Amino acid sequence: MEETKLAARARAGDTAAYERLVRMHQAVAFRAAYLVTGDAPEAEDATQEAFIKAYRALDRFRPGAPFRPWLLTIVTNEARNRRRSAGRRAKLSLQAAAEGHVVPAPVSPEAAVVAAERREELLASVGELSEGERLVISYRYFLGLSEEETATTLGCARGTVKSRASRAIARLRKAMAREEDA
Amino acid sequence: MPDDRRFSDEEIEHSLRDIGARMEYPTTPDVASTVRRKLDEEERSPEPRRILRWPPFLAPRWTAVAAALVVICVVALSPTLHTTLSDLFAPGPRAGSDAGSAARPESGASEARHKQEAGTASQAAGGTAADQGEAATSCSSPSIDAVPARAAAGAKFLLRGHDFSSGCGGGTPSRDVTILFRQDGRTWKLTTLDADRNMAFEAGLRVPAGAEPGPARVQAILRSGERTEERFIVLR
Repeated sequence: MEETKLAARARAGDTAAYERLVRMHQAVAFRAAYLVTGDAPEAEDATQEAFIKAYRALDRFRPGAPFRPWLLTIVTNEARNRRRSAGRRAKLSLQAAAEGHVVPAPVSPEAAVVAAERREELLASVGELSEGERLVISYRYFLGLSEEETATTLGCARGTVKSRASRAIARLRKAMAREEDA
Repeated sequence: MPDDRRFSDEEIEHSLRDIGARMEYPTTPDVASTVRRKLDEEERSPEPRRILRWPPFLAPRWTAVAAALVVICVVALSPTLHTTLSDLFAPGPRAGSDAGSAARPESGASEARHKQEAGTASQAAGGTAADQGEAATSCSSPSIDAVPARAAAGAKFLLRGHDFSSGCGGGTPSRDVTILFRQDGRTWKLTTLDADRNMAFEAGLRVPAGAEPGPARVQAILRSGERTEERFIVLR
């Protein structure tokens, strides 16, 4: 059944329909929460609480509107609040090369090591960005959300997403150059 | 100063996407079942969900008693307020004219109940204009009743709704009222209907064939999210 119908049924109090809706979006919701908290149990709690809050707020959801960005807004707020109260920054990590989803390009072992090091450095630099910039980068490039979805999720204008991404990339470029020189 | 032109924006963006694909996420937990269980438990809970948790020393009943005492003291000690309230509740021509303008339009057979209630209330209070005004402007919550309230799965029953309006004192009839039949975490949507100009409705419905013998609820949900329900017993 399509998302709009499930959302309408859930809005009318059908928890079975809502369960299906949750199942459709729980992976992206959990990942979004994890990108904010950097902690799996915290992200799970945030995701669960966000889905419950979203159910109670379904009356405010505009019928026919895309459900994912609306939901991710609630997830992000919940995860941010939890991370703030825990008083820590998200620390993300990459999979070991052997477990990576990306098919490696046919390069020399040395080049592969250099590329892996660069990715680690870049990820560490993302962690040093301001929260606003880090979330834009995380949602746009790590979660693969569109500019529009990122803007809705973070509650800002599309232009803000563009400018934050641009500033963040400039900072990352500088950070990478510094690392190369070091 | 480092030369950051060694990396283009495109290279950085490409690397970021590459990182996204390699990001080590923990396995997604199955929150769907937990969320549904919690919501169903909440629905079944006889007590409404409390948004505000009271500390033990501020138990609601003691707070209510304390608040009532404060109000009584304030009214008793303030002569101005005392006079104002006396004027407000005393029967008089002003209250009567207000009642006339604020009265909710009532007509039709299904309004007999309202008229009867209004008449009874008015007689009991001596039929003063002030009483009529108070009754007319009071805001009733929507309610439903099922006739009969006990029936077997698949059997017909009549559902009547009253006071389904968008606001107090002469709002518009509610539209798209969803009628649900709920039992043990299962939900059947019976119908969606509109209230008539008397803010009421009557609908012939059937107990869902899949309902089990035992207690159930018929629920009416307004577009605003406001809901009302009636207990129902599914017979063998």
